[in-house]
Amino acid sequence: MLGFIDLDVGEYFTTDRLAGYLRAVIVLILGWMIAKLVSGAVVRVVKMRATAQGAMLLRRLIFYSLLALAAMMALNQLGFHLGVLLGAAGVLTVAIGFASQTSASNFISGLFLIAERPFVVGNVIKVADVTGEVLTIDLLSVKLRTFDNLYVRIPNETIIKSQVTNMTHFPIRRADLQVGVAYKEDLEKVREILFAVADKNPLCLDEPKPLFIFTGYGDSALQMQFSVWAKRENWLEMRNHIYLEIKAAFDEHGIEIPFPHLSFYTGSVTEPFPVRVVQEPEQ
Amino acid sequence: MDESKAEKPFWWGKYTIPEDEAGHWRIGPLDLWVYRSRHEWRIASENSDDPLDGGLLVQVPLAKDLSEDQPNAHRFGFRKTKGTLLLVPTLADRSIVINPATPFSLLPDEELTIYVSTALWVKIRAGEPPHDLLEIPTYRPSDTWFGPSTREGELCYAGKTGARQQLENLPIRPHRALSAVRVRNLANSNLSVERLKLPMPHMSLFAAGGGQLWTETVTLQREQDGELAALQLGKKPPSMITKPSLISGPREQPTKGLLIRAFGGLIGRE
Repeated sequence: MLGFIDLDVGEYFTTDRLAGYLRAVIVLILGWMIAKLVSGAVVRVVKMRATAQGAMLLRRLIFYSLLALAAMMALNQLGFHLGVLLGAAGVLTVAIGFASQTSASNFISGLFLIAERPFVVGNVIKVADVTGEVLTIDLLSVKLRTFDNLYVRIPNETIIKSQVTNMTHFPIRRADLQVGVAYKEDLEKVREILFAVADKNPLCLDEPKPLFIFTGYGDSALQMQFSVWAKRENWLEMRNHIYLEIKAAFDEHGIEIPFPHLSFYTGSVTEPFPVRVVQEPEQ
Repeated sequence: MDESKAEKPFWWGKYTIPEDEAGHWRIGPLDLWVYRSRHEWRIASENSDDPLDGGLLVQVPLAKDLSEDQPNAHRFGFRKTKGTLLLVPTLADRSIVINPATPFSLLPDEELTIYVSTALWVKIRAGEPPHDLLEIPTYRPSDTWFGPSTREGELCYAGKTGARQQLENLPIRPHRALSAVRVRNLANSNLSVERLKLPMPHMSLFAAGGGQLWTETVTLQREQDGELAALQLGKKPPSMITKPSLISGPREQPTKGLLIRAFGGLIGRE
């Protein structure tokens, strides 16, 4: 034996101890197998009702709980006093709890998100200034793919706390087109032309009917809003086409879309602008 | 039925196109060219803007050769093409919403039959045994939404032409299908008919003697207790059509639940 260390290694290899180790190992292996079987079975039963996300979560939860139980029983077999261990675990939990506030908050937010289902995998959502398609809803975060193919991770807490817009929840979507025409134009005629363009476009829905709203006498033009509906999947295509079709129809009918206008005037107290007339050169 | 003739009402049916020759059809607003080569059928089409465009022309075989850059061309490869081409008229692939130009009201215990026409689709089939190659609308109607709100409903086509009440006034239009819709009001209050949805995917197409294509009769009945009953599809076109022959069956078989749901939003209220 090593003289300065009061340790008898042989003590750890007595028959009782060895039996204990063996029992512990058996308990651990058995526990692992049972955990796997039970979690698999429960998931198979629940598969119909739960989403893929939920099922995976449940399986992991059951597996690790049962494994932890098996580990504790194994430790018991090895002769550890569980009471002390649990006490230490309790203190550790508090410490970890404080440290992992954010993660816990994210985790709980995630559970609420899964239960509430404001959006599902495949929807397109907008959070703050990020718009993207939902790839996964994980324990702590939601993963998005933006339209320029970037990968964005948004913590669940942010989603629960802030406003999230689900762009693909409803089947049809309205496009609000801002149109401005020169002051000299006849508004009734413009209105008729806009409705004719909407009528002709096959992607633009007949019902709900397009909406014509006069928004105001602008600085340079008469401002109006022409709102048209399309099936959500066709929205972008319809919106692009219809802007071009409106321009073409305006051109055909001689309706002017004015550039920004700025009027100078000298007013009554100032001198008039000097103006010099220049003759056109002979052609 | 497979010789080149112009202006005949029956544009549908079997055609024989020799190798390296083409066929041209003008079916209402649709211009259709089909070109057969040894290993390929090439189909090109063009639509005009007027749904009531009545042009009708069949040129088979076509003298001139089709150039490579036809509008909207589709190509189908075959080990070896056989000369038979089938043109089958079919109904629209979505329900069609009809808005009578002037909404009418039915008094209690009254009934009315209106006739509506809808655009036809042309199904092109080739090969032995015949396979569907392509389906082209004679006229692509506008999309529209039919449902209780913008949150739920169904995407349909908008039937632009109005609903007529006099059968005698209806011209024969071989590129459109006619449907007789019978509306009956058995309740004690007026029934206002502003909007009708015809479930085209569940309906069949029949040919009448003169070349007009009809669907089966549709009956909408408002029961005495004010509730709208299920829309009923008849078995065949109106009885005045002598010896209708079935051209194509429904795309989808109607299920009971589907009909009741279709009817719930069928007649626009308020």
